[in-house]
Amino acid sequence: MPWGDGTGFAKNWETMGLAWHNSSGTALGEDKMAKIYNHLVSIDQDELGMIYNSHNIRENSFLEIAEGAGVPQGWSFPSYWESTDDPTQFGKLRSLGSTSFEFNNLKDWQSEKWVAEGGKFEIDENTGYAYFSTDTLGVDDTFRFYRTDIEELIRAGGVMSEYSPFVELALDFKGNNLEDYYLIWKTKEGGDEWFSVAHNFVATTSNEAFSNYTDRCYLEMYFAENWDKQVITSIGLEFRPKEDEILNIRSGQIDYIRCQYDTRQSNPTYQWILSLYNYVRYTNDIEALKRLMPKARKALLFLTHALEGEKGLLDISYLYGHNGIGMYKKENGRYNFDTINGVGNGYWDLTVSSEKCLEANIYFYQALCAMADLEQRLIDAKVEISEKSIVRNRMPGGENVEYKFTVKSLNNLASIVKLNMQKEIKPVQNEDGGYDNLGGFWNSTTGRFASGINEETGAIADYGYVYWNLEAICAGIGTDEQQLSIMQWIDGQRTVAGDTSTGDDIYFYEFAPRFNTKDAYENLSPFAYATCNPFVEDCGTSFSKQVQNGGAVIAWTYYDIVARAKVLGADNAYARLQKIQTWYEKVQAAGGEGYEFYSAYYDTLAEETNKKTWGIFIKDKTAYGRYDLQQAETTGAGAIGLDAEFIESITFIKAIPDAFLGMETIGHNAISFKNNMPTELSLLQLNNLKFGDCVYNVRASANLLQIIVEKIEENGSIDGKVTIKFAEPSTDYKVYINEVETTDYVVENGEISVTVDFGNVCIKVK
Amino acid sequence: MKKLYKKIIPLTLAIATLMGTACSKKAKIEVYDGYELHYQATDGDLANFLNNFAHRNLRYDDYSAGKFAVGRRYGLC
Repeated sequence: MPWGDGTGFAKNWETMGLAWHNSSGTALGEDKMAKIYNHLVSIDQDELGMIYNSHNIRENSFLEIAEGAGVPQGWSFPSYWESTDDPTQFGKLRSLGSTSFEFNNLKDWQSEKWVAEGGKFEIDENTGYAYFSTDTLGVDDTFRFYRTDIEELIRAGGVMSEYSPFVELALDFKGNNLEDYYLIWKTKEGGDEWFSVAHNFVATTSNEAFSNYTDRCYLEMYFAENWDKQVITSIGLEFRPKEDEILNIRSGQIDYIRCQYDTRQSNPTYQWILSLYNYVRYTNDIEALKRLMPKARKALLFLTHALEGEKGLLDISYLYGHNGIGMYKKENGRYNFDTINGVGNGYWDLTVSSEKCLEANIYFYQALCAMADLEQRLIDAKVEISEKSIVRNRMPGGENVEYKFTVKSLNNLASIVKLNMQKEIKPVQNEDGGYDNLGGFWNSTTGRFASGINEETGAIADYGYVYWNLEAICAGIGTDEQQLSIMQWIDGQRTVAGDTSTGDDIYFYEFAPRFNTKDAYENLSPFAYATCNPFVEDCGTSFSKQVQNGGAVIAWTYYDIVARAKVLGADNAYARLQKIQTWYEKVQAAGGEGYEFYSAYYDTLAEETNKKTWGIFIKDKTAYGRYDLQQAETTGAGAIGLDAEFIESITFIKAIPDAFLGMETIGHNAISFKNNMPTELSLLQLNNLKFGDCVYNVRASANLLQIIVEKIEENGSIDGKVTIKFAEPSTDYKVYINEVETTDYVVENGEISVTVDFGNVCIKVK
Repeated sequence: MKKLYKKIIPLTLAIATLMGTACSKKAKIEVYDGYELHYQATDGDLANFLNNFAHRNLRYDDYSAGKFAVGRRYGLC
């Protein structure tokens, strides 16, 4: 059952789809909230505070190349196997800039190519491990194993360290008197000189349990002296004894020494903070918050310290290769791409992320607001946490950093981030010849937020990123004028010069707007190349053939409806909802079931398009691939994200309570609703929502909003407040609580607000 | 366990919803756990749409909404 089991990259959206209604107990077959909680507790966190994308489990030593579970601390690509022309050709001359040393059953890795000094080292092709040990050393003697023929393996004459800012290791051993083990290497520039760095100096999570060591660890090699921007000609490990001691290593086994990209992202960390927030705000589980807050505080420090969000905008340049440099067209007309640049940083993993990028800052801002709320909940619940949250300095060897934020300082920083984001984008050339964005993200030329800049050319990355602009509005980012300008563009009320898609075509996919409105092929990251190439060769563009370039994903219709309700009004949002309904009914009428539920409809559309075009023997290049569903494990990449891996599709259903019932939580044990019913809809009722221990319904009509308690969990209680709001009528009115007229209400900023104990209550304004 | 919405819903809403449902020609997912998220509206077709979509996605495996082993190697590409 995928729900509750999702990995970190979409945990915010997963919990947005689950936490506010009855997902616990057996209502959904199994307790989804228990699974969410287990994930929150168990997911790994490194010493910088960064939350891993998935659990740091060991791979099977016999996995085929390119079949690994990705990199737990980061994302699946770029991966070490993308450093070669052919992923099956590791260790051969076909390798481009890097390679990996996998002690599995590949024939290339014969033991004689590895040298051991001071002990034994032997590869066993039957088990997929190399085994090592030593028990013959004298005082202060070291044990090492290494490989020296790397220059023969790789075109570049060795591992180009820019393709390997990280070295990943998976090994086990039992050691006595070990000071630490070191990565050792030679460089082309250094000749025969060995360089080394202690594993615990550069490991993102240190491990000194040498008596029975087992780890899958990640070494930030770009911080090691004599590694960055070098050609590595030899590599190995060295085990060094404590001073005046005799080293002993037993039962050593190693799976790989993997020269790896830096695929860490800011994304899983704020996704985790927001999923904790989503969990706590609807469960009111203060014990869970008490347990997880030290972890949350460290997670925030990853964003504020390591990624320097404390300076007013999140900057991901700490992560190697995370810049806005994507593909570019060479003079011969071919596209150039290089996996060392433009590493993705979020859900949209083909799209380059600028050092200061819009998506990351939208979520950094929300993470700050969420943390302020969570801190306030602890205060309100009179819960104190004595455990200090301390993380490692962003620079190895620097002083540790302790969490000292308060509700006030978190809110202050959030305000600064928001204001900075709303500033005009401002690329300025720096002394190195590259560019920095010294402004925010607003592009007054197009009247919308840009993603960031290309740090090499200074070009503004504004490809009409609809989804990020909608997310910004829903997060409360943007002045009223900015938000209106964005919605007028997306709604087709105005056209942006140079856009590929305008007006009604923005909703070509019916269920949601396009991800972007301007062909972004030229600025897609290198990793998009293989995916997009067939379309580019055939059509000259990948626009509308890829979810990340003109395609659409239904989860984001949540943001569209909520942003419309906020900026253009509930009736506008409702009209869009009805169009989605029309689309869904057409899908149902197509008769698809199971895996084919959506594809039956889109196969028909594609077939009809082909009939029209192929009938006269002219291929309609613009239609080719337009209706392909993306289903990673079956048909692969596509333009439409609805099912298969898009489990976050369920986020859409939260648009109903958020857009039309104004559902919000407002601190410990407090929830609020604002009646924002569309004119056309007389009555709306949502059944089986969840707040604390209470399963309840909420009903709304034009002048009514009612809470109906369905049941209270066994051994649970109703404990909390509910605030119900209405827009203040322009004519005379009276307020009623359970049919009794009342004056116990507040009018502020054009809103009537009634706060009562959470329970069966009906508020009317008439 | 089926929940008796009739106990808590005013007659007008129940009738309106039932009328909307009865008029709908779209296929419905009939099996609801009594305590699963459920929409009702005077526009019965809208409620059917929302319930169908929600249920299909919330009971992802039951309705084979997709083949995907979460956490596998694939990215979004």
